[in-house]
Amino acid sequence: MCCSTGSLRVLVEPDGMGGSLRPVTDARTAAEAVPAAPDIDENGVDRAQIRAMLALAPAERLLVIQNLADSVTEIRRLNGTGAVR
Amino acid sequence: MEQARFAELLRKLASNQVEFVVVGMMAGVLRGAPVLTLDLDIVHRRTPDNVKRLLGVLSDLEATYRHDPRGLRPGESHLMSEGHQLLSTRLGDVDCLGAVGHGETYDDLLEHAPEISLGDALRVRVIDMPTLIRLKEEAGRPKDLAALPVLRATLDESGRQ
Repeated sequence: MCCSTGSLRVLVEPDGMGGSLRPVTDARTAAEAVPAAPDIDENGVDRAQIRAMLALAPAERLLVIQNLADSVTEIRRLNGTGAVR
Repeated sequence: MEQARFAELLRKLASNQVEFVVVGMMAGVLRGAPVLTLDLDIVHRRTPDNVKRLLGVLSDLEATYRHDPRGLRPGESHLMSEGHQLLSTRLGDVDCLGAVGHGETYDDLLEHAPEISLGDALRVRVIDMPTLIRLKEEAGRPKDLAALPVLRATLDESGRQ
């Protein structure tokens, strides 16, 4: 007997002791059970951001950090806070 | 703090034949880590000739000690030492490190610091990600440890490409 519990399909087989549950192993179910590689890993690190950075040439990475540094400098200037150490 | 001009700073060092290795979080960025840093950390070769060249660049950039209100300038003896010279220049903050980790010098780091191209014939030596991770682990300060998950994930992702 096959039934569905949410997204997981299970096969119920009589075993003489009231039945047991085991996962159905057809292709569709297996594909559903394997999650896509997460963009945020178990440490909370944004892997998508890393992949985007790795896709750039080193000179382009330097430009990214330059733009970020310029933004921080501008924020400090607007706040009148100067360097924060 | 002056507005940082990282490319110009690196070009100035390279065009004056200063021998140095980029370390710290700028190395992480150049190796692909999406992290923010506002200064450039380098380990320079501590030979008299190279220190003279470095001092020439620093003088031209009006480098002074960052945390010293007297505006002291670095000298040859400072740059010949293993110490860390934390400087402000007109192209941004530069930390000139005589050694890192457990006394590792420019020569020690060379084999772990292949050159990378930053365009327009600018090539600089940058420590590789495993070495950067090891140095951060050895440093062990909270800010170093906090950076480790991103650096390790970057190393992992670069291995998948």
